Amino acid sequence: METPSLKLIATLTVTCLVAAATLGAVYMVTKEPIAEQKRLELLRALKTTLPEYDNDPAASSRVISLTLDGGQTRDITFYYAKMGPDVVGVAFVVIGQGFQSFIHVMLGVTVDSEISGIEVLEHAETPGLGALIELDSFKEQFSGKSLENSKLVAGNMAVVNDGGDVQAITGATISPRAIVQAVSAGMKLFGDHRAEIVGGPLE
Amino acid sequence: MSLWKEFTKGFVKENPLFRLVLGLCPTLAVTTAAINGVAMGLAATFVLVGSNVVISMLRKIIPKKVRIPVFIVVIASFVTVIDLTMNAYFHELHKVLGLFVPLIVVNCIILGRAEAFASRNTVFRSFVDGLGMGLGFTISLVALGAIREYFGAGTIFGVNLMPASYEVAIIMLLPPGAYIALGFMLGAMNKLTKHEES
Repeated sequence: METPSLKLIATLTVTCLVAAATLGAVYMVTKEPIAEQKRLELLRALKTTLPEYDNDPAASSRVISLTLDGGQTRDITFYYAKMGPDVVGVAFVVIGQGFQSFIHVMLGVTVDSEISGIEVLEHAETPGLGALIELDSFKEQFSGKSLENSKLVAGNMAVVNDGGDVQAITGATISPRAIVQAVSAGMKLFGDHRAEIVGGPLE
Repeated sequence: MSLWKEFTKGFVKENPLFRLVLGLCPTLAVTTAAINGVAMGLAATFVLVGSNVVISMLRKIIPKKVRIPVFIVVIASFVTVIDLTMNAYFHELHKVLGLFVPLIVVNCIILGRAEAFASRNTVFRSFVDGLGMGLGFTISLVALGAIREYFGAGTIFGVNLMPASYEVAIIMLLPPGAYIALGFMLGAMNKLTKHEES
């Protein structure tokens, strides 16, 4: 027996409406906790990457449109660490092309153009191998480095295998290399636009 | 079939992974560690139980012609609910599994049980079926994850179980290791249950 198409349409419509209402309700309930988790995550990353501060760096941020070397413009969010009225450091996200994912790294820089710390925010590198970039021993070696005191290869910071002085991870060079390149590019960006980034009014 | 049998069939006799060989995509991708297996398995179980119950309740009013789209909408809704809930309350876990949870939508175990079981059985039997199948899937994922973690990182659930001199076999954590481990487990499972078939 043929089911009239009207019934088919009605069934699908009602199903989708109920599903939509359910999802809307769940979204509303989880929206706040998810935003809070994201904020905590950002704050944790800022705490490990920025020099000591006494403000709320997650709240004092600024989006600056910068013209990169290649000529294209990009909006980058900068988070400011302050001691009293003075800016002591900024943090921003740099992205490197890893082995099988884009690696998002929070890069903290002091006003003296030294790295105060890095934190890996997001990646999908090989577990047990490229994913070892999450280890503190790898990340901590960046603290205190700058473009001035690093062994540069063609003007960029590099891993030991490429002639630089950043220790990579045994068996995995691609992921650390991606991070080093991203960090190096970030440091250059900071150096080129230091006045623009550090100076200027904060809200 | 008795209710108890309905519940336990997913463990060995009709184990979704080792017997029906369904849902391999998430299986091979997430089982790099035992704990990932637990999380993925429980998330899939939740979706399976939920969709089985709802689809069983609706089985008499859904016209045959549109049943598959309706099943998919129900399943996708459950998946989105668990995705949002995990993101909100188990954020760290969500960061690890975030990529794979949406894949539960296309996990053929869920649609398979909806079509083969829930759409022809009572609500309670479908609930039991979903729970049993889900737990069977979870156990399989944990076993696979534990084996790969043991050989690939020397640990199970993060606890070090290998002597310090053990050289980890990283291949077990890479995609080929998933196939190798699954192949051996399928073989072992077939050998162990051979007598039941004859």
